[in-house]
Amino acid sequence: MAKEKRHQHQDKAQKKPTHTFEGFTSGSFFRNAVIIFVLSLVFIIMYNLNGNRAELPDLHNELSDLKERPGDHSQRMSEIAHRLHDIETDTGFVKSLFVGYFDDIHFVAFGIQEQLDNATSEIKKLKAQFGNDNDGYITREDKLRFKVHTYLLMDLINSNCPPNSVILLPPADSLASSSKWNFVYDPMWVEYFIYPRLCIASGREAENPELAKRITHVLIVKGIGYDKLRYDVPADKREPLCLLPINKPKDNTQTSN
Amino acid sequence: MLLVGILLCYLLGCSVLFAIGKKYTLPEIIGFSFLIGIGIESVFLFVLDVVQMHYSTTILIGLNLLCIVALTYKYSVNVQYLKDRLSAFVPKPNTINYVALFLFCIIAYLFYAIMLKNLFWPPAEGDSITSFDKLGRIMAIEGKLKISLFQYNLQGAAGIYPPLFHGSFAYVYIFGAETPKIIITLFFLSLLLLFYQFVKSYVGATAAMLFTLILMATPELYAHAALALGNMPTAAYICAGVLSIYTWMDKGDKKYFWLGAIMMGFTVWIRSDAIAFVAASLFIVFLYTLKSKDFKRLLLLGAFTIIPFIGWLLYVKLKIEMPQASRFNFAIGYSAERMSTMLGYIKAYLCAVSYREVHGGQLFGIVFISFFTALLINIGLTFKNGAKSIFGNHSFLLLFIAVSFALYFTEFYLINEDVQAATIASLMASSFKRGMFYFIPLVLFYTATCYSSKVVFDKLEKYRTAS
Repeated sequence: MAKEKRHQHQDKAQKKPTHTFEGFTSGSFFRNAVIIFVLSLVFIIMYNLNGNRAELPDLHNELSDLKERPGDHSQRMSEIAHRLHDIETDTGFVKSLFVGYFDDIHFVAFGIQEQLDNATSEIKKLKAQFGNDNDGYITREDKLRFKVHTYLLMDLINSNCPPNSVILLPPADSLASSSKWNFVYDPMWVEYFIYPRLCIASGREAENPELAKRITHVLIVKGIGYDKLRYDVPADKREPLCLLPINKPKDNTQTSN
Repeated sequence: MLLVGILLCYLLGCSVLFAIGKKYTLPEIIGFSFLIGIGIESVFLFVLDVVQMHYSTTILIGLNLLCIVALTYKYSVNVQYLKDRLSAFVPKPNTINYVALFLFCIIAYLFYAIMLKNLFWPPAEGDSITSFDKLGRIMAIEGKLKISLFQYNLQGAAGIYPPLFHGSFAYVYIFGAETPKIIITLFFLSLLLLFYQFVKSYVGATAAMLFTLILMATPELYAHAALALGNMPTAAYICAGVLSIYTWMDKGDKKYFWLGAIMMGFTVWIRSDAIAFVAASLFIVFLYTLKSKDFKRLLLLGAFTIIPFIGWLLYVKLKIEMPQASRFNFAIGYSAERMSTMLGYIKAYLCAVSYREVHGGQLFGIVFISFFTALLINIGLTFKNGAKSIFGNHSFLLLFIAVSFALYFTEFYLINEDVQAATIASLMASSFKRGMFYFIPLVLFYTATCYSSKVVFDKLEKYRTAS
């Protein structure tokens, strides 16, 4: 009886589903190595299908350098433009399936440490420029200052307005065409940086009349917004970028740029 | 302090997990614990707001400890079992699957790289700045869900979204985080671990590692593992929910039903538009219960998913009191132009081709192409072996994918462009594109575990183990 049970047990063990593979023998180490070799080969081929994309960042950097450098670089710029065009249009169906994976591996997995090191040194330079790199510690604000180009305007608001201020932002239609001023006209976006101060979009005061009544400051960008002030600023004293109180200040301490 | 918060979140999830069942694998313990834990933390924040108690670390620690102690006391977490699982995780040299280990090393390296990127940069994406991170940060500062910005309509579009995602940000801010992005890494980890475990339970570790690598490296999804946006976390809940329900239907293990119900409940607690997936899961479970006659399960799943959905709608209506124009235009009828635009984008995503500014291949790689290839091969095999033996319970999964896709498509078709302040083309190029994440784990699960793949991977395993 006991023997029968043991046999049944052994039979069951032999009939285990094929995906549970125990009893691995040392002889199969070679077979594992073969599979790993084949997989590696497939991955390398897939990676190299789009290998020319590795040139893209250098080409883009060189192109933007040449644009800013004085002198005639039209021949080199034309060569770069052609090369960029060749790489970006070199997209057969199979290649295009693996472009994203190439970017994952080349630019993120292999490149991330270098990118973060570069960003860290740039952020430190930016801190030094503003004279606050004493501690050597990089804060969230330092990173945002580096990443968000208009963060300086947010700094301007935060350091010159009390927490209960309401800021009138510049109108979108005068700035939206230039990416340089991205979102400084959008109250949803600006509010993130200036909380607990509040803000309101220029030209949309009717949507929020209660807040419109409480405006304390006007953010002037590209010289736009002086017409919103309740006093006149002489033309020769108009700064293109500044934050001004909506009512005439008793002294000049509240005017910032 | 942040470490305490995260540890409590995991312990809370773990105690719920062991209240539901007794035996789990290590990836299931880690993956489900976080998803359940952070979901319940957001429920705590919601309930505290409703009873008008301001958030604080003390209150949250107290609530967490209370629940953990109550659950572990009542259901007694099997510590010995946990120890066994941990020791089982360290394999004996003669049982190491070197191929899976090789793939695991690539996954670990890719995960490390994206984690570095994610944790270095604070949120800077438009949606995060205008909504998610703003809501989370200010919730932590003001100690309530309905923050003061609602008064001036400055809360952003996600103000009416259910609170799980921005609530999770608030939770880590309350525990002293400088940025909330650790949450994104933990969601990504849970997604990968649970997907791996579900696939492994059907086709073994080698195939599971390979498909987990394909899932993780999906270009657009991988990019989102470093962005503070809610689509990837929603994909984690949908993956866990749908595959749990599928496992329950396929293997009859009831703990997966409960896990599926909880995960689907949190799916609508993280994004209301994920109701399409809840509706599809109810439909599939309804079809299943027609066979099993176990209608109680259908009612339970309905309760788990409808209560959070209705609860949040009531909160928006009664507490937030936001005047809501309907997001949907039911009088739209048939618009050939809209349909053509939408189908153009969908063709690009599914067939890996380009349409206007998007290229499906660059966004989702081989995911959908491999799914359709697997599907065609299996359809071909039905002529030889019969549909039942080829598809079996996979037909429920395929039906789920089809129904949820149709419902999700309908949601977008009916969107009122004026209320949404966006054209259907821009919605398809951004929102719908990110919504495709919800399908990726499901189609990859099918591709990995379908009949033809099983045959291939069984042969591979036989060769690998020389058996």
